[in-house]
Amino acid sequence: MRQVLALALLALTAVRLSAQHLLVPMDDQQRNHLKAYGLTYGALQRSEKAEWLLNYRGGAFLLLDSPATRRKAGLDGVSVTALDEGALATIRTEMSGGNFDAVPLERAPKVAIYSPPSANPWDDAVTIALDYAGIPYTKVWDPDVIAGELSKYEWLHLHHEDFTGQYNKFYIAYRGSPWFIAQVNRTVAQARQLGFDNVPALKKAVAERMRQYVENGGFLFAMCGATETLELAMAGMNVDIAGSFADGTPMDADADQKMDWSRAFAVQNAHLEPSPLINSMSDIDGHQVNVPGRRRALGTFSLFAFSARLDPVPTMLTQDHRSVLQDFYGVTTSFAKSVLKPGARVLAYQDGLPTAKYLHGSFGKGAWTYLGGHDPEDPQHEVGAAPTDLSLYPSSPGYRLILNNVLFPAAQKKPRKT
Amino acid sequence: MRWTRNVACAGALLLRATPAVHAQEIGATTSDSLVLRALALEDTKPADAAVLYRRAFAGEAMVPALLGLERVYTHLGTVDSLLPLLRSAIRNEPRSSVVRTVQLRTLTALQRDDELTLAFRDWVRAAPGEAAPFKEYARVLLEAGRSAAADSVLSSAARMVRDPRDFSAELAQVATAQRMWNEGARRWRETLVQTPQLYQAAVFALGLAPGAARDSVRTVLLAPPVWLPARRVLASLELIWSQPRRAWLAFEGVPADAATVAAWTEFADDADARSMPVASREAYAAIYRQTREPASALRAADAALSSGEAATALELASVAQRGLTAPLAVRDAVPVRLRAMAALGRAGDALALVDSVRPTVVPIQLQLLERELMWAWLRVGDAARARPLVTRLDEDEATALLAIYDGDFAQARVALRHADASNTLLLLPRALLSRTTLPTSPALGSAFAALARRDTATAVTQLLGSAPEVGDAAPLVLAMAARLLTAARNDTRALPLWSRIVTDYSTSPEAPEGDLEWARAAIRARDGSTAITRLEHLLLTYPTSALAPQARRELEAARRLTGTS
Repeated sequence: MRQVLALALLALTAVRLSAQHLLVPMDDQQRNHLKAYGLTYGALQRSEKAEWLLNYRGGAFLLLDSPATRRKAGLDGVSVTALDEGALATIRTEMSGGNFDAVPLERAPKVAIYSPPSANPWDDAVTIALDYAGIPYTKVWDPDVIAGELSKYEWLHLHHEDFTGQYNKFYIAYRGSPWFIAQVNRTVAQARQLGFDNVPALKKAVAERMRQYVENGGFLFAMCGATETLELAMAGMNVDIAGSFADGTPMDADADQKMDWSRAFAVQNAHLEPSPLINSMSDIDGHQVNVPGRRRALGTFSLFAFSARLDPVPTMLTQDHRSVLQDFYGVTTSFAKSVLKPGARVLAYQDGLPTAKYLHGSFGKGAWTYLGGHDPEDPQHEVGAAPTDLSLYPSSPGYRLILNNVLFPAAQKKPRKT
Repeated sequence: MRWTRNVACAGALLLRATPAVHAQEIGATTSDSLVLRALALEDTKPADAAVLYRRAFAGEAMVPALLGLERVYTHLGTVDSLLPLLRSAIRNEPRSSVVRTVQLRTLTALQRDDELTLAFRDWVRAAPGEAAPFKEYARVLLEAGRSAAADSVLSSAARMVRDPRDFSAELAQVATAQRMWNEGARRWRETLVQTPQLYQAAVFALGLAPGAARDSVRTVLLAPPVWLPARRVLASLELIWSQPRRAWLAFEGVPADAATVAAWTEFADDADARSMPVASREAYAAIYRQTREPASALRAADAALSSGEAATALELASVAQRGLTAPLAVRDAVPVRLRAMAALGRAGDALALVDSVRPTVVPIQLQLLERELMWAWLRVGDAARARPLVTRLDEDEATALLAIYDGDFAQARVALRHADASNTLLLLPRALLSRTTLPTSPALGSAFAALARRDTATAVTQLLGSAPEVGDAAPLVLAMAARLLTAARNDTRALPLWSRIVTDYSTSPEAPEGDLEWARAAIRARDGSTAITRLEHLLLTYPTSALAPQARRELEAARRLTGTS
């Protein structure tokens, strides 16, 4: 027995001494899934090689065993396992026999978040995720977008913004609230300063710049109301789709017929909500959280599984240690399947409902991803609610979906084989 | 032939084994007696019971026999044998809700969904305008986890029955099963208007609401008008959700009449059983204010002691004492007052109280009171006053603590072998004794006694003086001193101790705490960079420490403070 123990100790010591790689497991053995993304991003920032082992142990990362990486893993509480070449070869052999693939991660993508300079009474799940994971980003806003600054970034995130310029129709419930009045005044002044007649005109111009950004090779990730309103703003570029509250004139009575869906990323043949008093933009959202008569109850959503070798991009975006997740509301919670374009890939669907939760597609040289809902760890998130403290949810499977999108542009580009 | 043999066997067995059953049969019909005999056999001889039930089914006791057969066939795994009997029973009593319900349950158990739907429709036709078919079918669907189907059934029922309010409980159950918590709470509130006895069902259903949905449940149940049944449900829910303070607040604004006091009493007992003294204390105290019953004040005092509010406990017990006869006061109220005084460190008052009742109590009562007095002296570190009581009462925990104060560690170890491990006064002495073999240490003993007297200056001096002699326990002793100095906001003296623990005793259990406190002291001195260094050292050197999660939080805060990442 003593000999066996001695041999085991010797073997362990040998592995520690000759380890060249660190495996960052992303299954239930991982203590802090979200910080693991920051650990990987940090390694890429230091130009260290990294790989994403798709479908292996929950979508594990393989990093170089460097002192800096070990130190950050220790400080952040990220579980890592040292591997020598032999152990790595064993893993690669195991991966060669199943639905696995190793995707090299090349560089740390430059991240921009489209976010107003002032704090809003709601929170941005992506900002929260990036801050917690320790991934740096730059905030951009309308003047930056209009000035063409987006081309400096590889990854653009949108959250909660209403690109139809109707302030998410919050005027129905919050028109007397100081924060709402301040937001309207600020946005109107901004529009005039940038040479636009009204806010809807400004927001449509911003949406158009974003469309061009993706067309030219950028990656765009949107959540919550930004998904639906970006689609509406792009398709309604030349139509008055805003109520009189926003631009002084009512919505074009024939707006539905005049929408040019060829300009949109994901949606076609959707119908606009004509009433300015109903807190809904269109029939794109399957849950209609702010319309009592239409509101659909929350259930769960399930991630599709994809072939790691044949379909690496959807596989990257759906890496998770859970495949069925608690659903969560947002201004836009889901996407009715009936209005999706054929090119919009459904990455996750709501169980038992004719809706999708998570979409991805390509447009021009770039790609877009939409995730419905506001905050994966606060299913009923309401205006004014306290921000989510991710240190209480270090293994949040919903937040992992957001961070998958941050690292996805870091992957060495591989054409889809299907 | 086989049937005959089984019956004969069962009959023979019954004649021998169940004379008591025969005694019950006096005055009963033949079918009733068969049912009674079958009941007696259900658990031990289900097959024989089935034979008797079938005979009873053919007679006048069709319904009880059918229910019995449902139980025994389930036990025997032959539920499908019920189907022909059910067909026969339905022919005889097509509107019987019991028979129809058994049919629905049986078809559900057999997973014959199509037949289940047909059976439901047949019942609706047989009993037009009645709510029972819809209610029972919805309940069966709910139990099978098919809440959406149950919802459809109830929605269609609302159009077809005489009084749609009949379904309020089922609709409430459906809403909660579908995790529509706001809607569920609203429907349960409506249901309780008609059927307040469903209070427990409402609590059970809404208790499953996840954290994020609980506020909406609260909003519905707290909504005006203030209504006792809704508030009672919410109070119980808060107990289930481990929110004892909120639980009691749920009753806020409810007029204090007899029904409310009854609800408070039930709530207080529930909170007590769940070890939530914060809630039970408030409830018992409120009950006392309404009823002036000393027993309620005493229970409130007990709960206050358990929740660490000795001053409140003393006040309540004193109030209770005034309402009791002298013998009852000595028996029930005085011990509680003594415990409260001991917890407050008022040993002198405790002695005066014991002296005041000493002439009136019997020896066994006096012993109980002196026990409380002994602990009062021990709690304030007065070894001299405690000693005669400890010697007389001979309790292991007290003996151990007194030996610790005397610095007689050898005797303390002996006493601790049999002492109650949950006694909080002995936690630190136990930790110390487990890390040193020192037989005596008067300095450390007096440090513990000084600590009990809340004389922290003496305690620190004695601890620092004894640290060199305690071997492996030195970092613990230093940490005890450092904690006292930190609590007194004396970082100038505490910091060298914490840094000494980290540098000189880096493998000790106190080292991570040393790093953390060092960092906190640095933050207080606005030295973010030192704080970051210490916290990083903690995380990298002691990654498995229980303090690591807290250190990570404080590291993030320190980085924000210094603007580093």
